[in-house]
Amino acid sequence: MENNDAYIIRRVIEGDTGFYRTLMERYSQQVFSLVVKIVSVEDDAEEITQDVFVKAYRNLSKFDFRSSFSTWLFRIAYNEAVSHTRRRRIDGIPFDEAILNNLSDSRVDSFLESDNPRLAALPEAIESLSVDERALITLHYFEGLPLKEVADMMHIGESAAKVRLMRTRKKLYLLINKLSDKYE
Amino acid sequence: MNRQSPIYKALESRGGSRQLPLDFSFEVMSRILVEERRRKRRDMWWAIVGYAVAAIVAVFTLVYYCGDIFNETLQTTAATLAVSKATVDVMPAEVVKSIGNSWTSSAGMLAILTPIAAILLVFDHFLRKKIAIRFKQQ
Repeated sequence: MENNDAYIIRRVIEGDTGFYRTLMERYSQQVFSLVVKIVSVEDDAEEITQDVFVKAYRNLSKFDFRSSFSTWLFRIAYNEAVSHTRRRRIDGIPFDEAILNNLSDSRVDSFLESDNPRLAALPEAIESLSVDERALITLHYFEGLPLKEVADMMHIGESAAKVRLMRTRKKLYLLINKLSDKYE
Repeated sequence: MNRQSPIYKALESRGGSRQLPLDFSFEVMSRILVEERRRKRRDMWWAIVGYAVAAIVAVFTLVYYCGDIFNETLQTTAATLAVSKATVDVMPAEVVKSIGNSWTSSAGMLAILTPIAAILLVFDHFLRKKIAIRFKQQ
């Protein structure tokens, strides 16, 4: 009971600020890991993680216990990371819409799930995506959040998230092939 | 979540190895405590403003609604003193009556002021509480 997130949150809201440290110790590494994957720069990610916890503390009384605390925290982390990256005007490479539309889903799926040696360029390809796309694949593929939850976090519909995910996978496919050509 | 998928592995390699510094919680808690202190100071200033507004409203109400009673009481008291100075032994019936009136006026004034003061204090208390909650949420 006393280790329960809800119990700790209630204690913090009642004024036992010290209890907040428990929540931080429980989730800080997870939040940092998410943020670093979105912003790519570790020092920035550490600063953003601090901001996330300060912001979460300020808004703790607004937490409605409908979702888990980690999901709520991830939402704040996502917003902070995205706004930080947008402030710095770092964004992905533009793609030709026609090429993206003509690429078949099955071709991309089979390539990305294979053990093709070209996939060694995948980390670099992820780096070239826009911040929203990086956040989308990190939340879905790495944190394992269902697409509906990711869509809620990104303030878009579930179908829009599905479309965006497919487009991101297509972009990864194109980027990997482009990067592999460069190395060969 | 498929931990064997190439995308998962690629994401894992992106900064997944670095740990947060050990004093991370301490730094965040320090920031939070500084904010808490600022919030308390802000609440205190709002309390002062709240009481000042309540006092201004109380004085205004007093002057606006009870100014006549005050004036009358002061005039009656001055007249009583003047008469008692002039006629030490005999006090006219009108003066006795006016002294009685002044006491009645004072009681009336108290009867009006006490509930007004109580209402203002309660209003101030709720206002400050509301402001404090709003700031805590911010």
